[in-house]
Amino acid sequence: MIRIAAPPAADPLAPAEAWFASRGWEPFGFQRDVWRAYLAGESGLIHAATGTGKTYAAWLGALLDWMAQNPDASSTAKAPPLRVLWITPLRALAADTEEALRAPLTDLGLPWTLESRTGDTSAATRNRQRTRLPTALVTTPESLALLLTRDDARPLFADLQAVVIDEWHELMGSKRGVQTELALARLRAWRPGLRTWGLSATIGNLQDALDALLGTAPDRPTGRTIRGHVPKEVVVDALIPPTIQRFPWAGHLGTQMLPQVVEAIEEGETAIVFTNTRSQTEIWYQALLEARPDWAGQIALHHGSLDRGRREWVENGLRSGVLRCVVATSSLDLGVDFSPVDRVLQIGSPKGVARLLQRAGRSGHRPGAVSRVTCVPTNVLELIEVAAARDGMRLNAVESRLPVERPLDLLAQHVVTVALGGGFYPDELKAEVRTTRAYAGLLDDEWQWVLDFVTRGGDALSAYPEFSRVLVSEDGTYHVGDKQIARRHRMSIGTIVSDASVTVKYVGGGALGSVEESFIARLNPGDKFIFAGKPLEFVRVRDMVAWVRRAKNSKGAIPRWMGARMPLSTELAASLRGRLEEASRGIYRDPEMEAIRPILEIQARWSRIPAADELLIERVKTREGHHLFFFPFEGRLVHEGLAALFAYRISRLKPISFTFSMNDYGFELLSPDPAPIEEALAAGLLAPHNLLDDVPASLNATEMARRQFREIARVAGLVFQGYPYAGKSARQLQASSGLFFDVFTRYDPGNLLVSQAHREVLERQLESSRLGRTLDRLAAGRVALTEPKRTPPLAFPLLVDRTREAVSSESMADRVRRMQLMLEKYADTGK
Amino acid sequence: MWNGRDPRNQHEKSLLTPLTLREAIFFLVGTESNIGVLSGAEYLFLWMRDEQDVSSDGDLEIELCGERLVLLPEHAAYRPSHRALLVADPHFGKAAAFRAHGFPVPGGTTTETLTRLARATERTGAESIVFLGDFLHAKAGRAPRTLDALVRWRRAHPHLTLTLVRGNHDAHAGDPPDELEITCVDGPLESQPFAYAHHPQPAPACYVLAGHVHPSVTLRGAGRQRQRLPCFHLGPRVGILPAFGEFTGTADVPVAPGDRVYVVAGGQVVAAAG
Repeated sequence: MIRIAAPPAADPLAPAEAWFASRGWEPFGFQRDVWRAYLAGESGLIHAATGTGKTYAAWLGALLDWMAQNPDASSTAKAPPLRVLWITPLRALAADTEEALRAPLTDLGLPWTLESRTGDTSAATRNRQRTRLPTALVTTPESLALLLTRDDARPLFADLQAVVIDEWHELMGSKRGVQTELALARLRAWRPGLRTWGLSATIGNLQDALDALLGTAPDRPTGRTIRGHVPKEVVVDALIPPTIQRFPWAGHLGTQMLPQVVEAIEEGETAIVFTNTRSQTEIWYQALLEARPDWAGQIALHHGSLDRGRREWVENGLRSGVLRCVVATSSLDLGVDFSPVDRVLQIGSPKGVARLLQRAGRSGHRPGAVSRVTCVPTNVLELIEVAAARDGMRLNAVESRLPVERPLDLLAQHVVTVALGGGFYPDELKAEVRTTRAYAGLLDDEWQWVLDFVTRGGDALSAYPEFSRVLVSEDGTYHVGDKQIARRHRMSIGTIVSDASVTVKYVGGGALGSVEESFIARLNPGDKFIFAGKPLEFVRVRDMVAWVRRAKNSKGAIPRWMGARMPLSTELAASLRGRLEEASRGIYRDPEMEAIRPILEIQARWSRIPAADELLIERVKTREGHHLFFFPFEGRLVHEGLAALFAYRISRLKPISFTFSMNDYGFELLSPDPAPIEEALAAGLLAPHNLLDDVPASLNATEMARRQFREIARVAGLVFQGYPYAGKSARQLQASSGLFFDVFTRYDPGNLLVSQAHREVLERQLESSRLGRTLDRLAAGRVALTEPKRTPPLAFPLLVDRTREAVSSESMADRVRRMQLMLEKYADTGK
Repeated sequence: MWNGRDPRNQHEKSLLTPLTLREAIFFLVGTESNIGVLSGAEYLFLWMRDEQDVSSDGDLEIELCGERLVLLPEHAAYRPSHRALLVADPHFGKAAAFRAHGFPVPGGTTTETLTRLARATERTGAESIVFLGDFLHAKAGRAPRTLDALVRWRRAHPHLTLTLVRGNHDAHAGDPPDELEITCVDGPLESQPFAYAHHPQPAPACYVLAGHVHPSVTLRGAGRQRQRLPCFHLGPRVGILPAFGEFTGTADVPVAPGDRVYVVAGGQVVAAAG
């Protein structure tokens, strides 16, 4: 322990400076800025890449503040009551965070206690925390909300000085972020001078991030946005395929680049290979093992469906440098330092600039090292994305995280939480809720509806005296009376809804992780599959556990997990269009563009390379029918909406039927008869108006809303997952969210949760505002309609992707090979 | 556009009205169900029909064990030889039970279930109803309001003979009140060539007609179109009726080769397999 002499009154930062010096570090300017701002009672947002000292900027501020107020405290003094809340998005990060926070406490000899409280916390610790919370508590948004349900919640936080929210960019775009905002509003109401500090990666809308953090009350402090240390150069490069296929196809099977990937891993000490899906992680792990059997034990895989123990083992292996390589999904995007990592590979499209920056930042933590990420294209067109991502980084065109606007399901949950946590007066709570960014625009009607919903079950239920959830007392306070309702609410707090999943366990014991129920449902006993990097034989399923044993053979099906496929970001898409614009003028900068040049030249020869303000439409006739390929380059969700919208609008001109496919670059409409595209363009195919009528009309929007309602029903407390050992009576209270959706739609048409489901589908699944902006852009630009004799390279992946829907992967591969062969021949001989 | 939902739903019909059928169909062309007979366009027709149209042409008459059986779009079966209406899983009081535990289920489901029951009775001219179990959902669902509605219904239909073959929910919720004059028995209740039961377990020398499962099938089409529909599922020795109650869920059933499946879609019973 270093004893820090009582600091000279002149410099309150001295203890922190001394602690840094004792570690051989020198504080960054931004860290000193934060310390001073903290000491001055300010709040703010610190943004920079992960692993650049944001944690100690916020944490030492809190410690300095206490030391300034308690200059004579000794390490044996009684621990101060709860002073700092540290919110982390992942409970898996809690332990690492605690470790990082503990170091200065110990070294400086402070009498603080520090503990975590997450879903993983032991019952004994919870019990202790029931009577007394530590001086600093590391917790998740859900566990914080749970603390707010205690009827002694207010005194618990009586000495709270600050809340620090880690990885705020990760939370703020989700309902979990809104949950955090609501909790912050509550705490600020109790502790008016409360400091709030957010730690975030750099994102495109920092002001939104700050507003969400500090709220929108008229008297709120301005708050500081402090840019963290921008440490080092970030290098983005690509493994360029030795032979460039002329006809790239969507690369779900593409481990063609395996030899180069193995080589790249060999070059470094420790590597992380990022993929975009959990299935890809399993596939690449197997491929690497087959290529280098001698790496068994030195490589591992990491994704969100693996058992926590396995994930921790892998994380420790990375940290200690035992592992040579880990194949991972975004599960390793966050979290503390993995110092030994000096090589990061990204398999497939990076999808966004911020994401690639974050992944690059996982490497190069050694002094003087650069952060470097090497992209591995699974489809040669992705080479353009690599070049485009580099442009995006240079221009600092990082993506925004769009905050969620006033989700009423979560508000209903929060109102019950507050009713449990000491009760409330409606007008006070309404005012408090409106100080958050998410609910600043909350309408009186909406508030009243939520109040009705929790007290009377909604305005349609006024006549049912048997319903009660929240009660109104004679003095006008709202509270929860029923113990069972209280217990159920506490057990279902949160906003995370997972798909029905089945735990995978060895017959002999040991959990591997979880897979989706639908995957297991297709297996018969004796079937082989690969999971957690291991070949397994399915034995039986019982009580949501799939029992397996090890299989000898390493062949087998690989589970696929549902999950939104992330679209190409707006920012990256814009850079991509810029690169194509250059290519259309014959400019090919950088090795990636040089490599893909032959393909783009065929594209130019057969059809056209679209300029940035041009919508390319290709009309191709094949034996299958009449294809229209559109290339807006706006990401697959927007393309899904556009495909349906265009099909709908064209079909209003002429009786015609379409099937369609889409990817991040464009979409295809296929019809048995030629589509009247010129006529449609003249009649306003690209017109941005009527969007909100035409889009739901053209898609199966109600069915999508019904699925979206799953999350809403769970958050609003309509659907209860049940007690772990539920008896019969609990089972009689289970109904699916779909059933609720149907019953509400029919018997309670004014139900605002149903409206919310429709709205969420439009905003989140169809990105309707982005779709509108895309149409604005397209309508203002030019249209280039070409009629190539054969399918040009940009369209080829779409042609293949559509057929993928109908046939199995095995015969799919053969079919694709044949198609490629035919086209290759044509490119060599024909013109 | 085709919104994949039952048009009973007044609220959603507005989405359908401005479209011509042909405009709506393009989505579904190329759709072939995995299970069977219906094309996407046919579904669409079914969906666009109105429940108010339910009439005898929504019925489907089949032969089972040498007997005529009429499958009704009201989610019931009618046995002309005995003038008996077979109704599985009405789960009366389920909504009330949910409300009593703080789940806000809107009102109206009991009324709707009873209206449908009256319609099926009147259309067929049934003289008796056999309930294949789960008449009441739970003890907590014996709300005065629900029981009153049942009694009123009974008074309006005094001449019907009512029988309940008890199901698992009845064991917990208790038998219906005496005023309803329902004869309650434990299954299976033989009525050759059939036996009425709640649980779909085969019985010797009888073909079992049962409930309990709330069967449905999911039909799939191109472009990841999916539609889940309640169904009658007739296996070699056991036939299962769809759940009758308005506020009841469904469970997809595995369909074996040779099984007969009849889905209920928009006021019509349609063969989906077999």
